[in-house]
Amino acid sequence: MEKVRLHFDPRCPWCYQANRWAVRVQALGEIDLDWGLYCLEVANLPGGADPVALGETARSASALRTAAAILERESSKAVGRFYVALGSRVWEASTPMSDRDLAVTESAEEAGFDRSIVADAMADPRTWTEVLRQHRELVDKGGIGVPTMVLDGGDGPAIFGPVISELPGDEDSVELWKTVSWLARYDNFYELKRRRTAQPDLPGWKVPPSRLTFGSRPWMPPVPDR
Amino acid sequence: LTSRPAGSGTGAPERVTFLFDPRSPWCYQTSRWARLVEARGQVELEWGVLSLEVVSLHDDEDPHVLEAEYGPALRTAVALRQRSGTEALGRFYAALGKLMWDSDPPEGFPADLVPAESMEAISRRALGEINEDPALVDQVLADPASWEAVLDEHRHWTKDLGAFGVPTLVFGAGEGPAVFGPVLRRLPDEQTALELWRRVSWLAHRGFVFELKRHRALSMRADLPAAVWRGALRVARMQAARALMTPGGPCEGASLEWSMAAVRRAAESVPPGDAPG
Repeated sequence: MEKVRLHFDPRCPWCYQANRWAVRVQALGEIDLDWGLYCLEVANLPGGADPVALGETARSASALRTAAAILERESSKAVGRFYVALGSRVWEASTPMSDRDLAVTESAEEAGFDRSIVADAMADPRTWTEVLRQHRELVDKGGIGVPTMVLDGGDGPAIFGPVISELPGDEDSVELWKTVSWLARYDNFYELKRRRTAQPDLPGWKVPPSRLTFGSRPWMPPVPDR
Repeated sequence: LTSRPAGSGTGAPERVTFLFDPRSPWCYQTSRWARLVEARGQVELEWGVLSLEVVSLHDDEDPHVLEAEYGPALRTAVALRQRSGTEALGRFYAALGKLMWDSDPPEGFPADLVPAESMEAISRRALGEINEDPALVDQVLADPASWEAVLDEHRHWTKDLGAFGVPTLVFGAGEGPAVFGPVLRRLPDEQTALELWRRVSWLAHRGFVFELKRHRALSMRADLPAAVWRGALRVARMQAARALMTPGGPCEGASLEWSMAAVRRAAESVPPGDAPG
């Protein structure tokens, strides 16, 4: 079974869709997942800007730092449980939680941790250092955003995507995995893309932007390629 | 594969319209792959054009008055297809691509940044290679409607099918879906080419899949003999254009392509040896 690391930022609904798909492929026995962290607001900083202050202000800072604390106390698998619990509250609920900190706290609890882990994570500067370290690690592998899948448990080739609007059925899920894996390992392949004519099929995405748990929509239409 | 769409490995070849602009070496590389797949009976290609220069214009820049660098080739392409069919256009693009990208760079490069032949001249030569009349280039350039025909086609692919660059594969015999890519650095071997085709076709027919991408450094060039030389020429002209785009400059606020057209006009109006501006 292939070991795959999925890097995520909880504020991206496309990333959460890819995670739902990856979790299903794991349930079908095709892959063994673990999770890596990434921060879109760090990625969007102007060149040379210091990402340290974003540890307090980034929309997903409390979620990512809690994930780092979960990793330290338990495992990357526990980070995955936390991400799924969070996604079910902010993306899969028809009325997404408006209180982001409460969503993070409840999700940590659901993943098996005490509520205090969130405050502990925010009080410990090492949690943001760990988020930035994992972010940097992905960038150094050529990571350009999330979702990004890294094969061989994080040591193999990295590929951005798959960007999917809906969760495929079992058969298509497995075939999509085989295709993503084949293309990721074929190092002569760089890109396949179509205009995003659909939005993520997630109830939490359909609410007005002001009510999104993580604030603005972190997605822009594609720019022309050359 | 358990659920193959029609044409992806079984039964009749899938009909795909391949959208190109001769300016992109990546597009030419993908076209070589597509022809390999066509030769193995998996796909039937038709050919269409999309202008990368027009795609990159700002909303307030009128494509009708753009003197596009690759305009002569695109205008010739559309006129040739009208006169001799899509198969002739496919041969024209193959000849053009071979002359532009699959030929050694001129002697003197890289020590000297030897300029490239004009698109008029190279389009005439490409027509000659496929036994078509090179005078077609002069006919289209004398007829402003030939650029309008390119713009009409460009508008169709971008507005109606959602195309935004090249290479683009338009499945369903040109009715859609349209998918950008696959971007490839080198030509795959035959077995890999066919496997790649099956994967790409499968993804293209899954409308919920939007993107898969590997990081590609700006400095990376397609694995083609002339790609480094032509890439260096383009970078030099981009730098000249960016100098015009600075605050207070003649192209402040303009798009890069608009500014590059201004650089070409300036070069044409200055005798060799004189520094422009």
